[in-house]
Amino acid sequence: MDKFEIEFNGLLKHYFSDDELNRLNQNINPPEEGNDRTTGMINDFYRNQLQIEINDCSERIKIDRTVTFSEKILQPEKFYRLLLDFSQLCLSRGRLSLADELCKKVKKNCDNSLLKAESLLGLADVFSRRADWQRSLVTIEEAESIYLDLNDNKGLAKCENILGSIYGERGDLTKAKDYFLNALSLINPKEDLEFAANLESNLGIIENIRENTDASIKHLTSALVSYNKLGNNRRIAEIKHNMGMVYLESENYDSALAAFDEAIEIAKQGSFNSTLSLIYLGKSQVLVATDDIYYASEFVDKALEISNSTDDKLTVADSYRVKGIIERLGKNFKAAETYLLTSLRINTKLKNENNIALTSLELAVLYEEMNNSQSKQSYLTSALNYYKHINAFNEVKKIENMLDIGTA
Amino acid sequence: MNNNNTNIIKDLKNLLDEYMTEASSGDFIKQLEQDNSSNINEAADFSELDKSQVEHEVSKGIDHRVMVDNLITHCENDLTEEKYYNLLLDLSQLMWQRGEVTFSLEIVENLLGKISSDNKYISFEAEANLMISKIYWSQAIWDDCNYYVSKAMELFTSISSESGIAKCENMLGTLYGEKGEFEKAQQYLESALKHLKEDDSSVRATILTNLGIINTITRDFEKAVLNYKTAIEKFESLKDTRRLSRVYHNIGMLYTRMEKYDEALDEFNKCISHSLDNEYLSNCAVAYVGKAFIYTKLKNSALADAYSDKAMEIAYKINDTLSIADIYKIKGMIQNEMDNFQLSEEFFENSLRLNKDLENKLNAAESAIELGNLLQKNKREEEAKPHLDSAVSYYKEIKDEDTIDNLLEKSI
Repeated sequence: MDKFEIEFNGLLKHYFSDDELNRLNQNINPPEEGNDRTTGMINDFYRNQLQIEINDCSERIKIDRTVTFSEKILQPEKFYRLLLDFSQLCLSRGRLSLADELCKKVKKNCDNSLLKAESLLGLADVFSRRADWQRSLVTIEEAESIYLDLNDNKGLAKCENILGSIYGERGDLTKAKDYFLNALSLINPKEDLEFAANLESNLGIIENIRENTDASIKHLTSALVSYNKLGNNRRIAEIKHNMGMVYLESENYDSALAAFDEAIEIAKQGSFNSTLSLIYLGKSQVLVATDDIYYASEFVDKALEISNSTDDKLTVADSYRVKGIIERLGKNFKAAETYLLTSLRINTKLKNENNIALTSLELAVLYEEMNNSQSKQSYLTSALNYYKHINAFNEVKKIENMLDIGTA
Repeated sequence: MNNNNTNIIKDLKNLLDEYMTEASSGDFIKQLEQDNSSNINEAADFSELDKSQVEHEVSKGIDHRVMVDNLITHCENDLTEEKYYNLLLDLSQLMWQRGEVTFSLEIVENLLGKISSDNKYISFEAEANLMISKIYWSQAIWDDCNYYVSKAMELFTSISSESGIAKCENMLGTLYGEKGEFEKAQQYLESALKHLKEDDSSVRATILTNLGIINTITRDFEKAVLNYKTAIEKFESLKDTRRLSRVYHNIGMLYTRMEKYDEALDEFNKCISHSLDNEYLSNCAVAYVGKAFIYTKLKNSALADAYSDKAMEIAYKINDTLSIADIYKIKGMIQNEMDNFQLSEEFFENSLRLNKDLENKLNAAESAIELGNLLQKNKREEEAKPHLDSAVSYYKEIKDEDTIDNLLEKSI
């Protein structure tokens, strides 16, 4: 037992009797044999994919030095514009605190309204990546009012884009799509190639969740063409990941794996940590589907490790869901239940309707195996309502079949 | 150079090229590429203690997170509401102590979401707001810290919780202390003490420790020693290792101020040995900074560099930006000692910029002095003057005659 566990148990003694504490420890510390075996078995290719540096402070030193250097050389407005670019760089590398710090510096010191609005958007982006929806919405509103005063359609479109992402993350797909389409209507896609591609990519994600595979691939391919033209590797990695997710949904596992592998290669090269955790999670789901449980476990653990360090709560919650599935497949039902309920708890707190439904469905599958038909019914019904609401017919059919079997 | 470093330099170069000519940025990028500090401690002969401290592996935190997340889920239905909310507060505190600041915030925000509309739980709501203010304070995010401590104060006042009010005033005192406004800080801390009953041992000891820090900075060393001694007795009787270690660190700072470096090192080592064992990362970061500073004074660049690197690693992990700014100052001193004046100047400028951004007047003045002295040493008196003047004007504001005399003497 390490020092943390000693202190942790000391704290719990204030709340539980010795007996209760023993039982509790069994529940919250799942068996570890699976992971140990994995480490020995993992092949070189996968090991290489999983080797990344997460908490490297030399990055911060280099950014700090560059900021100080630039402040001396550049005119204030140019300097603040550069800080906003740096903040984007930090976001792509999962350095949310530093991005937050840079945006706040611009917001506080810069007199230029446009740059102030951009700094607010940057902050809104940071808040939404931390799933702090309320703060993000308020900040977008502030930015929006400046863009309105400036008659800046591109700025307004950027607001709509973040709003779309927030509603998309929370599972309100209709609203999300409306925001993305509205954003597209506010810009000239030929002049704003990158931004138009971002919107296409977001539309592709929405269509995938709605089970419109062809429409999804069409949007993503169109975005990919633009990103290739622009040589934007970070976005290319994101698109490959999104394509992987589409193939995963349509059970085309070979293509999914190929897309994720390509994405990992690019994201690792560029140290795009925020994207990398998503890709690892995607890959782990393919490995679960193809019954490579040991490898799946390694990838989901890495996804969890990165998303914890980048404060990406949505990915943390989704990683717990996949860990729950892995434990269920290993017949560790108690551990599976704890992971899935943890995922559900966090997703509920984050109001992420789509992931609440996904996790509820997994809980239902687990309870079916545990012969707990009452809990199974309850979670199936809750998931069914959501999938009906977003017209995801395949999921609805799948759940209705499960309900039939349960009542037969 | 690792992949991360190569990437970040490439990305920074590409960005700079959009904003300035290559002639302007070229030399700077070359400097970034040379990791000047990497070979300082290569051949150094470290004691076993120093070796174990600088080579300590900081935990990734993810294993703890999984355990705590599972516990939170599991206990939601097993404990009474009140017990569960208490547990969430305790867990948030535990994670914060271990440097998991974002997770700590997530836990306490989760609690706030559950109780904020229920009048029955005002004291929990107040404690949760106070906890959030502490989390922001530890990252030098002053506006948010102030916002949440004000909310906590309002709630504690509404239920006439004297001990709660004292805790809020202690936080406000700490906040002003960090910003270098010591008179205000002292007023809050002394007022906090008046709200306490005799049996509030832990809060009283915490406030006395914070008063000790102010006494140290204002050079009232006798009072500082007295306050720290009383705090130690109370924390020892409460078996509160974390806070006890923090007092050892503060005594280290006191000895540093008195230029008794050997005694200071002993205190920092006590703090580190307790804190490393328990992974109290915030304590480790500040004590490492303390040791690095002393080693620069003792002209041991290798150890100073090793400790400042380790401090940076931890401070970065826990987003302790005040310590980061301080570490840049120490790195500047190390490079100065090694006659790398350009890099030294750059580090001092980094420290000064960050301290100004963080509104930390005392540390900004300290960095300004270092930068001013460096420029003077390099016969750049005109550039040095505004930095030294700004420092003198701050020390006048806080009536630190000794430092002012010292500065004026040097500038003559």
